[in-house]
Amino acid sequence: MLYAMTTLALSEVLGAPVYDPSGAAGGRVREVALAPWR
Amino acid sequence: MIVKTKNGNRVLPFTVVGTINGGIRTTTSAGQWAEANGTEGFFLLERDLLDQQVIDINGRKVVRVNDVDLNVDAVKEAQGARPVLRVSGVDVGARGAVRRLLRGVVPVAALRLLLRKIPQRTIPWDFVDLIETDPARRVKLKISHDRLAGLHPADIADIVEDLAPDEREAVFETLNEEVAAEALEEVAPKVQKSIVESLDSERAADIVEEMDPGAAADLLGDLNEEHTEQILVQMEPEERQEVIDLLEHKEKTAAGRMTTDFLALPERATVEDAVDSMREFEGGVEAVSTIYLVDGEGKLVGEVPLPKIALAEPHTPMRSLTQLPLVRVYEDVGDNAVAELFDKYNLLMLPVVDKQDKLMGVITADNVINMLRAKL
Repeated sequence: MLYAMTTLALSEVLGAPVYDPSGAAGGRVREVALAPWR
Repeated sequence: MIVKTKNGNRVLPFTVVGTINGGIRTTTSAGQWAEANGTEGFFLLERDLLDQQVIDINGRKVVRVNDVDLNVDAVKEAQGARPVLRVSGVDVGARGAVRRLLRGVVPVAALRLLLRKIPQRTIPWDFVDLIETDPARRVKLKISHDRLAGLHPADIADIVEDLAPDEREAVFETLNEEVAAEALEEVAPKVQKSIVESLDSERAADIVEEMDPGAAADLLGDLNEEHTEQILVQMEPEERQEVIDLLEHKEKTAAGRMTTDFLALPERATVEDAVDSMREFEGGVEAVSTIYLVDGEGKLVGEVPLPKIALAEPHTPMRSLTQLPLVRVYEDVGDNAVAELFDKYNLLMLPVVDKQDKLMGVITADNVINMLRAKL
């Protein structure tokens, strides 16, 4: 589960599938935006 | 997150991310995610950070980002816990590179085992300084080099030398003039020249004004005449004149090596006067190891080393503290003779005088070391 994990690599997040509440695939992660900066 | 959906790219706010576990589960459907119209104002981790050069402030070097470490935290809210993703550091070692290279090629479990055997080389995010070459984005993303500016000028110089020309320009556009000037003095002459040539003449003049006059003259002497003039025109009159005077001396002579940033007092001055003059002195610390005494015509009559001043009572006449022999060098003496004097008398500073013995400037030990290193 997510909360048991402490770190993830960006390369593992990029391309990861995204599911909506019904479990249907909504798309894939293309980018991660840093906001707000610092 | 920017998510590629069948209806184009959408912005998925982290507030609607439920879990991240072999995929991301959201609490809203794709139709509710805003369209990603342009990403110019965003700092995107893959586009702007992965494979880019960044400055490792702690390690004082330039490194390439192989992967980005993200920390997953749980934030407790009324409805339950919500995951938050934070950048914790950048992976600059082989582990990040191998992970990306073998992802999708090697089974996940095998890859994890392999990665465990590779030492981790991560720089905490707080020690990362980004380099953004686009001035508009620098402003928009509030990218500054405050932490870089806190390093020793020589370390900044080493870092700058490892950067590409446009990245060097970006750093020098952002640093304040004083820090930029000190760092520029430490950079190799060839790199120094290319940095100044990349800056607009107004910015270059602001930085050159803050440099030690001798170093400024050496730098401007290496530029083409037209560029030198453009910078000189933008400089404040006093600093400009100082540099113009120095530019007239032959490079490999005592006068060509000297700086005009030094402390000289009338021969009747007291220790109290010397201390006051040090308080007001804006030159480098290397130029206060000795204070010189001159007569009414500006002729060099004595020198007092800093320790003697520090140990004397305030009303002690400086003349009584002078040390012998009074070692000095004439303006047209060559580099080798200058180096020999430093070696023979273990000098930190050497006064340069004209034919009438008038004090013109000083050569500091760091200049001699630079000179000798250039000959190695």
